Amino acid sequence: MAQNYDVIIIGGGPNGLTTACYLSKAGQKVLLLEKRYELGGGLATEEITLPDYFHNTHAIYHLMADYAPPIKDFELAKRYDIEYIHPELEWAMPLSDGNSLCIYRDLEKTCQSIAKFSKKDAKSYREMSQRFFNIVNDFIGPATYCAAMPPLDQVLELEKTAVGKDINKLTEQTPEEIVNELFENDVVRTLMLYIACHWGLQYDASGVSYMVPLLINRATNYRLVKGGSHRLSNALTKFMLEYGGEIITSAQIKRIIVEGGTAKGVELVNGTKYMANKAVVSTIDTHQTFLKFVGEDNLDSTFVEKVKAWMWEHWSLCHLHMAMEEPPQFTAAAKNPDINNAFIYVLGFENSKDLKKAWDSMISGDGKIPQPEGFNCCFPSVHDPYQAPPGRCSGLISQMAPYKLNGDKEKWLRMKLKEERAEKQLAVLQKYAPNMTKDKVLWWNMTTPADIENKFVNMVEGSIKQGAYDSTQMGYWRPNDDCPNHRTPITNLYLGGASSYPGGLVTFGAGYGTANVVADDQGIKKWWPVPEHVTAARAKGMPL
Amino acid sequence: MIGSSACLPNISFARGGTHQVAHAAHKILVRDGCKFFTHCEVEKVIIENGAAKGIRLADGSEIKARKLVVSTLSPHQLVFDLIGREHFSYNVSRRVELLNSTFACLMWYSFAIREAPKYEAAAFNPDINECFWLGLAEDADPEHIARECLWSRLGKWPPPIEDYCPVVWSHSLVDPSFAPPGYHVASNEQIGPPATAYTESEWLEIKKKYAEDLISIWQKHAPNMNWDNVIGCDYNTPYDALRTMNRAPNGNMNVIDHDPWQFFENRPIPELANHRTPVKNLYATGAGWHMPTSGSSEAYNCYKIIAKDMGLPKPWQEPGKEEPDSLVEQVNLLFKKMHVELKKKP
Repeated sequence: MAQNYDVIIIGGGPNGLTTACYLSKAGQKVLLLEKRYELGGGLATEEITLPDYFHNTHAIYHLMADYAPPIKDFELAKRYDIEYIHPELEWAMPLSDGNSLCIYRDLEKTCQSIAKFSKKDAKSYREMSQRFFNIVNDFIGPATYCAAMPPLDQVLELEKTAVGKDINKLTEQTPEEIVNELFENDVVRTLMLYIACHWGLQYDASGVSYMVPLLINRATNYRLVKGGSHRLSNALTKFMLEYGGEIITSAQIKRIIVEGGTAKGVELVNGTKYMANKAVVSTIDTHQTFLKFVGEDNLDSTFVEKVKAWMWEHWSLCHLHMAMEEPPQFTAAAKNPDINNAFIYVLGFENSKDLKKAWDSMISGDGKIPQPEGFNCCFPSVHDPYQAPPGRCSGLISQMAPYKLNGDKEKWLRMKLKEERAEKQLAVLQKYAPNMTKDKVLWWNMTTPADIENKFVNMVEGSIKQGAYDSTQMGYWRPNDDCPNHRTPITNLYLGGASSYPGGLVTFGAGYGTANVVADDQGIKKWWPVPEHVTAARAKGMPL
Repeated sequence: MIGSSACLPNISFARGGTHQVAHAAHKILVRDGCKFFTHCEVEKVIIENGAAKGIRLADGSEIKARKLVVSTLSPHQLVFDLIGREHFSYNVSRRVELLNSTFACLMWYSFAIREAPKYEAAAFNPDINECFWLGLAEDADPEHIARECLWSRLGKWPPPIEDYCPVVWSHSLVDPSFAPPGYHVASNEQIGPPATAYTESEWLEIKKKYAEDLISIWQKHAPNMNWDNVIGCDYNTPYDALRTMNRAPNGNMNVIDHDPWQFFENRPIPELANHRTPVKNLYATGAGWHMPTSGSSEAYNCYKIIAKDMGLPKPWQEPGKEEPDSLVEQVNLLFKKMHVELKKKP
């Protein structure tokens, strides 16, 4: 292995890989260091139950794939056969009375489903659909792949257009206010609030509610990578290697080498030093990056305080992955046969009171699993037969859960506790799909918030987005006002993961933004074009 | 056997896990222009005038091979699926059908644990805790191991609990990449039944029972290895080994057993041991060839044969020490050499 590189990237998740791909093809000598033995981070697919059941253990839905430049720029479909599967019925909320609320990709079908609960809400959804599409298409979608603007500047610029004004207004409302303004029926409100907030928004907090039109618009864009999420990681890895990039896995970093306020390279625990003459990009969390690897001695004390003030997420996830003998047959399918082919189900939260109670419990930190129990679940093999043996079914239950179970995260780390938890989750599933008796689940594997933290060191307290989506640490200020747009107080050190703009989930936004910024700062010629949707949005006068 | 024992002090594991080796090979190959395609099941080799011209995938698409095709399938898959029984003599087909693969089927569990096992025997020798390959048995009588094998040969599972002889280790004690800080991984291997001995539902019960039995044995030697110490378990049995089809139908870790009539120049059968097949330009290697679990010596030996046939570089060749390309000949030469050495006066 060489010792000198142009760029060293810490972390081989979707963002690290994205930056590595752009810069490798730009002719830079890139080294990517990954702590785990496998690349892709949360873009993982693993056979963790029985042979030939492939489970997407973390990232599945890829909401922003149609806006994400890497998909086109790296020719992932053509070069590596990357395909997405888009189920027609995206969200289903079956109810105990056998009725169900459905969100289809098709607007008419969705309105018909909503009309069964409220004709007024169906009309409102139709209008909202266009309104939120404009917001995402004209601004938020393209903005995800542009540099963030200082918040006050952005607010002023947005006021100049109708769409922008709407975004400003929505930002200052809470998700609950937005949903309640749009919809009157409680079942409709429940599902829409769940869709808007389940990735980590607080239903009663304002300041980041531009995420609401984004997430509700994206609800009809959830999709599966054919063959599993890890196909995407594989493709990115191959691309990077084909352009001369180098990778070290199972790499344990001791420090980022900083001399005279400039990042010069990385030293591993085994003593090996790799030098980077242009940039070191860290895609992991701010605490590891700054407090552990850069070191407080190399940082201004005010900056250290800002880093320490970073908020981890208020809740994490408890996932149950199942190898099933057959797919679930939902009672609600009797009234709507489409239900058995839905992509994502919301089970157990049939009214907004129960849903909000669950979130209140997470925020209060009482460390309990909210009652009644509710979650979302998905059966990927129904849509991609590769993911389970013929005739069988793969399943995923994803339940919001506190990091400290009854005050102690160690409580999660016991097989017997996991067995009890799995039984309770299955009981909820069985309530809506009676064929899902225990014997139909041939094998299962559970990941708890403590396991997430063990597996991904950067997901502290099980923070799947590396940190809370609170208005004080979003956009231009993510992670703080000394690190806007991936630059940090250390020259040549960039922050390129979920702790930077635009945040977490699989959007490739941070990786793309970092590639842009490193290229600009270091005088690297960009081979990649400005995305068409960005050009189109700029032509409409949007501040991008 | 004696030779294998002599290797024991040198056994090691790849830092960061075995999979690093696969990754390293992958990186080199990608950089050298090799293309990889996953999710692509190969159905048949395309044969024209007795020579391999390419392959056909399960989805019907065909890919041409200008120079050669190399298979790393099991001998069964090679003869009966990839090439086809009609290209082989009755004797050869029969020999492949009769290959043994019921013995080297392993239970291979990994436990994510909070504390590494603390063996009572560490009071006698503290190194025991970090032992690479630690055998747990009822007592020091080697008969237990012999009986464990005999029960397996008889097709009886499980053996009586006093004849369980699991081998255990905890790599995270010496390689921190194996577990998060403050936690550990402990693994085991033990002879298990072939996958074909039980139905799927029987296997699902065995998987759980074996974990219980293993923990109960482990606890006897290391009292802290109780269920409260366990965070999670990877239950890997011969049934689970079927995730790679070359280990079908028995989930044998060596694809076929390493019995004396199935090793060296007889592996998998004498007619196929030299990596050539009846189809020109089609070569075969894999764990079903000489020598399994040795770190790809099977592939190296196959390259030697290909290099001979195709005039490719032979970096191992020393002038005056050219090797015969037949494994049978090589083994005979080796035995001759051994006889000469053994006859020498000390």
